[in-house]
Amino acid sequence: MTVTRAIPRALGRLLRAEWLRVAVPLALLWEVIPRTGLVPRTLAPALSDVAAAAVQLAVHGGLARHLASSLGTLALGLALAVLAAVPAAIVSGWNPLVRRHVLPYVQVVAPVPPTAWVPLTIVLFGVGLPMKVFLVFLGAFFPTFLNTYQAVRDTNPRYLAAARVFGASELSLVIHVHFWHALGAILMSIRTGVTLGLVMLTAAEMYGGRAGIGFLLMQAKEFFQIPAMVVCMGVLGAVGWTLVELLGLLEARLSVWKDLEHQR
Amino acid sequence: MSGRGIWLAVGALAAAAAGVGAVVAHRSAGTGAESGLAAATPPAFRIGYTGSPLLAALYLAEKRPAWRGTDELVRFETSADVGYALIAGKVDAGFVEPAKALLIRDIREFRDIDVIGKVTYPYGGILVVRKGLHLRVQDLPGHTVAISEPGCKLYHALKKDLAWLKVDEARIRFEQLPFDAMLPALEAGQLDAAMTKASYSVLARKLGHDIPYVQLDIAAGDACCPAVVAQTEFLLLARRPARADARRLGQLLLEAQKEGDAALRAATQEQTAIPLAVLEASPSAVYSFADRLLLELFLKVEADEGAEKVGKR
Amino acid sequence: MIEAVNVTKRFAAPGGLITAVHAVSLSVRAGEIVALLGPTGCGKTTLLELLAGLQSPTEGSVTIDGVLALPPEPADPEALRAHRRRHGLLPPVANGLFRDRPRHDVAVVFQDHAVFPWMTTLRNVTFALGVRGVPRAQRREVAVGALERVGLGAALHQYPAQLSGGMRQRLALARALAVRPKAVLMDEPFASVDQATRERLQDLVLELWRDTGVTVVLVTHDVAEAVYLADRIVLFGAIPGEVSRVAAVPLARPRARASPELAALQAAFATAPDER
Repeated sequence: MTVTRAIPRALGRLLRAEWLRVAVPLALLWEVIPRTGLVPRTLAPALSDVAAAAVQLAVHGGLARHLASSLGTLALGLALAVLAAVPAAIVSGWNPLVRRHVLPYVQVVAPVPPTAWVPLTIVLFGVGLPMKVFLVFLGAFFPTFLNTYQAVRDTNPRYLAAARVFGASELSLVIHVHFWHALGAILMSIRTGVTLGLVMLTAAEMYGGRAGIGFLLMQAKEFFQIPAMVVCMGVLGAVGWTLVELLGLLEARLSVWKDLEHQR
Repeated sequence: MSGRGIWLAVGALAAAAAGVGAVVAHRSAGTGAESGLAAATPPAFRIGYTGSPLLAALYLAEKRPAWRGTDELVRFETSADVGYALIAGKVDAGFVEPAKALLIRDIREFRDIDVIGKVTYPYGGILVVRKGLHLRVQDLPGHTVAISEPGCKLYHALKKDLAWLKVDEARIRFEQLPFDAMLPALEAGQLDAAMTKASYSVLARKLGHDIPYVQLDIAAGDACCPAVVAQTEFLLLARRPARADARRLGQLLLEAQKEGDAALRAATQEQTAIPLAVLEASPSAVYSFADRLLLELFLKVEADEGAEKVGKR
Repeated sequence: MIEAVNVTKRFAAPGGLITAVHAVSLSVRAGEIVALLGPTGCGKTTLLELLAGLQSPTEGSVTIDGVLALPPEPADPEALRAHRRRHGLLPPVANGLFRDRPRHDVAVVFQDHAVFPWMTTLRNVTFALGVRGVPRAQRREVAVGALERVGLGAALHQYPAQLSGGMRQRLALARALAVRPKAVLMDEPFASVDQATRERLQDLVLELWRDTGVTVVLVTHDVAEAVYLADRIVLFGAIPGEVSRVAAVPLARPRARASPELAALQAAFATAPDER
């Protein structure tokens, strides 16, 4: 299943009858209730106001530019996090010596909520791109590391023995057994990392730099443009959904051989 | 989900909407104060502010004996946040930037909000250069400089002096940004310098940037932006029920200002932790009650919506 | 070809130390088929792994083709850690760190076949060949040959999840034999397949044994299987971890499954006090 066909298929999944049956009444309520004036319409915009703001942002507000900036920062931070976390976690899971030296630090730092890092990050990196990338990295690194580590630790020792008996070196074991065995969990951990990375991206953009959907969100707040705020939130949600679906695609590819695991 | 389930969901949503409406109706009817304790003590008078160094009079007023125990300063990140709090009734009065105040006016609840006074600053332009760059005006070619717009008076003043100093203006990259976006962009490293209003001088120095060029000999105001708005840094807005307290506050500010710059700066330093040396390098902002001109500017637009409003003042 | 001298294996467990194998001495000659027969839990799997060089004994020694398999290690975890630190051993088997280093020319077929589910049938075998140092150019040819030998020629590019249990077992067999080991050790390899498939696989093993002359050590709890295949049977008896006796199977091959001699031998071994 190629990517170009998978997204429409996923969207088709969304537009199933069950989903529509709830979405359409909700949309109607969203349109009607603000118009009744129970809450001022400028503070609680109707669906049509939000749609108009979306068009406005897209045509005049540089929505595409800010979206590209957000996606770029996210991609950079995620790539760094995965490249750092996956090998480090595999090696920690493989070797007790490495584990004893690395894991305690990870376990102590991981519970700190990523948003608590923002002030320190601003002090260290200023408020430009490095600060944003670092915060995304922080958000994505820990869940990826810990889940990958656990998956590698849970590697079925049978496979290790089977490879060892042929004479496989430790490096061969890591590359050919540990990594593949843990791949399903690795992708799942990346999925968690992506979600957290997106959270951190929004927080980072709200604090510094002048690009990105998070920045647009803050600008909308600063200038009392509530419908635009809703549009930004919707865009962020759509980005998160798309990324998760893409990763799900990757995981589905693996299910060809993964079934064997679940049969045990 | 069956048909009945849909109606249940719709019913639940309608109930929720009704609940929200009830809360909002109750909120706009009340003063926002805690009704339980209102009988014994005067209700709290909460004032929203952003911690700007230009609100020196406020910080000094807080320390003087005339300040009541029920008067309370509530700090916010930005003046838009003050605005939201004002609309929601979480504060009774607040200092809001004029541009934001105009936006608040467009939101319907503004019919409950009055303009009490303004904080002004001597008009002029400064060139803020990012810390560490150590540029003089002559070094600007090859760098990026922010201006608010091509027709900006401050920009013209700078151009005149650049020509007088025989600086190659064509090699300077000018970028357009609103005034309040200039310092953040400087901090983020997206600019090398910014030609901004003199009222930002304290903040700029506090952040560690250099100000190699100051031009205060500029008349405020032009065709699109009258002086009264160009020079105004903050407006004191108040919810109508708290009007009397807000006028009292205005009096306190006028009294505090009489104590002189030294006292004002000392109070600002305590409240904002900006070093005295930085404060002393700039003139102080001044509070005054809203004058006819300012009220007409606001009233003029309100009058478009309904002439009967005019008589209420 | 494989010599075990007074081998004992103890494990650390919550209650103390458990003896899995106690003072077993065994000599497997080149080219013969030996069956380790006994009920579940008597230590025959552990013995097999000791013979393969996958585990180190607590006492005694195992030599494969004249080379010591693994030096003895203490069972107590504290002592074990100290021992490994002193000798710089990475647990649990000291193969190379970066380079594949086959230490002994043996192959193992595990009870749950342990084929890698993320590799295709063909890749499973070429991987083993690669680890063994077969040049890249030859790997595919040898692998295909081995897979066709066991009847998997049509399933080269399928994943183990798509194969039946019997096919997976055949894949494990092909992978083990493709590297042309001197000995292949099998741990109850046919326990999880049905009777008909089991018989077919047993005949396949005999065929391959006849063609290559490989030494076979087979762990099983099925008396009929042991009697059908083996030259000698090592019986595990009443006491877990101890060999009760070693008996020869003096029947000529090919053996008929239903023959009376076979039945008699089966009965003889079955009456040994090992049924729990």
